Amino acid sequence: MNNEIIAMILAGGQGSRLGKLTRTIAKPAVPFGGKYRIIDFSLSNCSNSGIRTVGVITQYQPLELNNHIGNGSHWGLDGKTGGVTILQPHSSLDGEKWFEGTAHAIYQNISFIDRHHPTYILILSGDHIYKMDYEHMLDFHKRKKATATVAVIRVPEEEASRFGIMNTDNTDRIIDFEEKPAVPKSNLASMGIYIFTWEVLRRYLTESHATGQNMDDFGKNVIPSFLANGENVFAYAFDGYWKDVGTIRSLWDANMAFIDPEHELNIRDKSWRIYSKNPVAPPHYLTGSAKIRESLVVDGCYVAGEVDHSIISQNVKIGPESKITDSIIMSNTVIGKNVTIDHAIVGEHAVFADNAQVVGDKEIEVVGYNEVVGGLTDEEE
Amino acid sequence: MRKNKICGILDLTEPRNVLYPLTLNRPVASLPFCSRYRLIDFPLSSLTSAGVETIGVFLNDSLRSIYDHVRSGKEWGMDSIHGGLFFFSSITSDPASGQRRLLDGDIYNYFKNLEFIEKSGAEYVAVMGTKMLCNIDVQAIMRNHIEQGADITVVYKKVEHVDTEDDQHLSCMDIGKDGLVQTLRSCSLQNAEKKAMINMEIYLLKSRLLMRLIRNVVAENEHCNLNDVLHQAIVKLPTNGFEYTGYVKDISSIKSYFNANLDMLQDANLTALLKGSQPVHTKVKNEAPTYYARTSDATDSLVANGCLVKGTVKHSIVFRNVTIEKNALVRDSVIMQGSYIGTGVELQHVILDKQVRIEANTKLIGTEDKPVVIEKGSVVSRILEEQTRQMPENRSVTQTNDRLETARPSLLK
Repeated sequence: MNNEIIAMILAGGQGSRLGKLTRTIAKPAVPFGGKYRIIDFSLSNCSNSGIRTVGVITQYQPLELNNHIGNGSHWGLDGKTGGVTILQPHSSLDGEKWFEGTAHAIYQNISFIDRHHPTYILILSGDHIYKMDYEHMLDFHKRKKATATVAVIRVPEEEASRFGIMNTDNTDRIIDFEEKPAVPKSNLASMGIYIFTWEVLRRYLTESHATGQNMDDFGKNVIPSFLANGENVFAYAFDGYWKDVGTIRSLWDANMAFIDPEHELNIRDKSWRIYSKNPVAPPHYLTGSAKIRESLVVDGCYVAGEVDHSIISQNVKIGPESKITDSIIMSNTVIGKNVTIDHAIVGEHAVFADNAQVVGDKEIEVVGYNEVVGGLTDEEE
Repeated sequence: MRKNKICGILDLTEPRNVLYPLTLNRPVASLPFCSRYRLIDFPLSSLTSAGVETIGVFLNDSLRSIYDHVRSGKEWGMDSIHGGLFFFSSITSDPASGQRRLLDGDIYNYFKNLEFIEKSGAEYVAVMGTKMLCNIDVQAIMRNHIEQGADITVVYKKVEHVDTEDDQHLSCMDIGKDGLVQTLRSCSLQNAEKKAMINMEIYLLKSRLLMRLIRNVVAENEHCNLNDVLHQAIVKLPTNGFEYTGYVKDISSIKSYFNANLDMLQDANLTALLKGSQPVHTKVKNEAPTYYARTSDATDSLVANGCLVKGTVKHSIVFRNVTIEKNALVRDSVIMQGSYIGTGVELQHVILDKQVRIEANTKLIGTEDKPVVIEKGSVVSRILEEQTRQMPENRSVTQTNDRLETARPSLLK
């Protein structure tokens, strides 16, 4: 059995800047757009690109993520060969194998990768919103006879110092790489998406481990080391929609933009569907008093109130005279009567008592998973 | 529950001519219902919720839409190594001439395929169809059956009065104080004013008994259907009546189909059928969330995923992937998957089958009793609408695209 390319999704990150939203679940499992989780985009891209073997490396709070991914059937990744395998740190005779960094996580899973005998390996992070055909990137990697290809995107100059920045020659060969430079020399940012010729990457990882050289991180160690040794490292330019939703503000912004049916991501495109685990729920029900404007609503909802420029996820109930504005309501939240929610992100299974108010502003209000808002407190009773 | 104690028979050989043109290319079992379901989802979910692991699906001559929808049965958890779904077609070919025909009376189809019941090892068999739309607890029937110790249990629904037009093909029963069925007769003989117990054509009995009944009928060379065999049996053998108290609708006409859909706009009905303790599963599609534009005004409606709503929707059932343009008005209607409703369109009491396109400024108005039905894939535009008025029954309004042109004449009688 031979897979030309297999994908490894690094889904172990905490995403601590998402605060309450990643306290109990990993960032790739954070809900997005009413019926997706962030990792659905990477998984669907793999499936649509014809990649049938995917390893998902988890570490931080993996329960929700594991439950979501299951056997991969929701993304068509449950075929006879390959499929999705969830890879978690484990202990062995060599001691505990906590993942110290992106490349270290790959090193710890060499035996999984070897089992599939891939020629190439695609490294992805599970926390970006984008659509990308990895097959085009693989064609590029082969055409350039590269041993490493880094997907890059042009970012605004002022943001460039937040990213790993590449300098390329006119053949797209990377001549210089700087991780989060104070004075960036270009605005070509690494998207954290790499294709390596597996044999070569494998050698770098095992040799450095034998010699005690630090090779834990792709951006900080592996790519610079490839460049220093004169490997063929190329930049593959991507010019579509790509968003890192690493902060509350960016998560809110990306969701709000997603409402627009003309959004660049073109979520309704049947030829590149984004798949997800779809729970069983009846269609959404709008009562006689429902008023919905410029919003997304999905299966299982019950809406008796007013929804303006918001995203209402599965099985959310909104009572009469309540008003939801510029907000994201995650699944299974119950909102009573006369509730006001404005500029907020509301986690799954939250409960709003009648007359409760959550109003954000420039600072987006966040209501955590299972949180109860409003109602009588003990003293009032 | 012990493993595989009950197996199921889904009888999909139900007559479908009464639902033309919706059943032109699909059996009653595949009729789309309530924004995202098909009728077969209900008995299939009832059986699987009760832990039934082996189900025999007896098809008529319309197979494609059933296979496409059910496939391996994965959504109902039927793709396990235990049991599974078994499909039996009632199309047969004469060994001498090779000519294909439908079996006269479906009982031979059951007779030929009794092996699936034997192999399942199930002690009991539950028999259901799809046209009696309900969400029933098969385990409760089973418990009641064992308690009562009768040979057969049949499910009935108490109604205040029989609708002589819609219910005439159904059968009613009388049940004695001992809970046993005393008589069975056609509902057309029932006094419309009186309360009645309608036979829901859902049965539970020992597998061995069902196999013996079928073999006996075949030995006597009778041509009949499974329901006829069971009707004879419940009169002859001690039969326990099990009362179903939930929502039920007999889907046997365009009107009853239309009403059943609009019934779901009453919270009590929707809850009884779809939000109870037994979830109804269906084929999963990965549609985007539904978008409501600033110009939209949608109330008192059920809407599935994947729609773009820019116009007004009142008291309607909207399936997946429907587009309703600005200034369109949809009232009291059932709009199936993939339909497009142009700007300025007005629809009331209309059923649009899948992938219908209503061009801008077209007006289609049916009545509560006779909704306008537009056949799958039709394109309806304003010029053609004028011609419709002269057509009988308000039906088949349309200019169809090339693909469907050949299918049309049969409809225009």
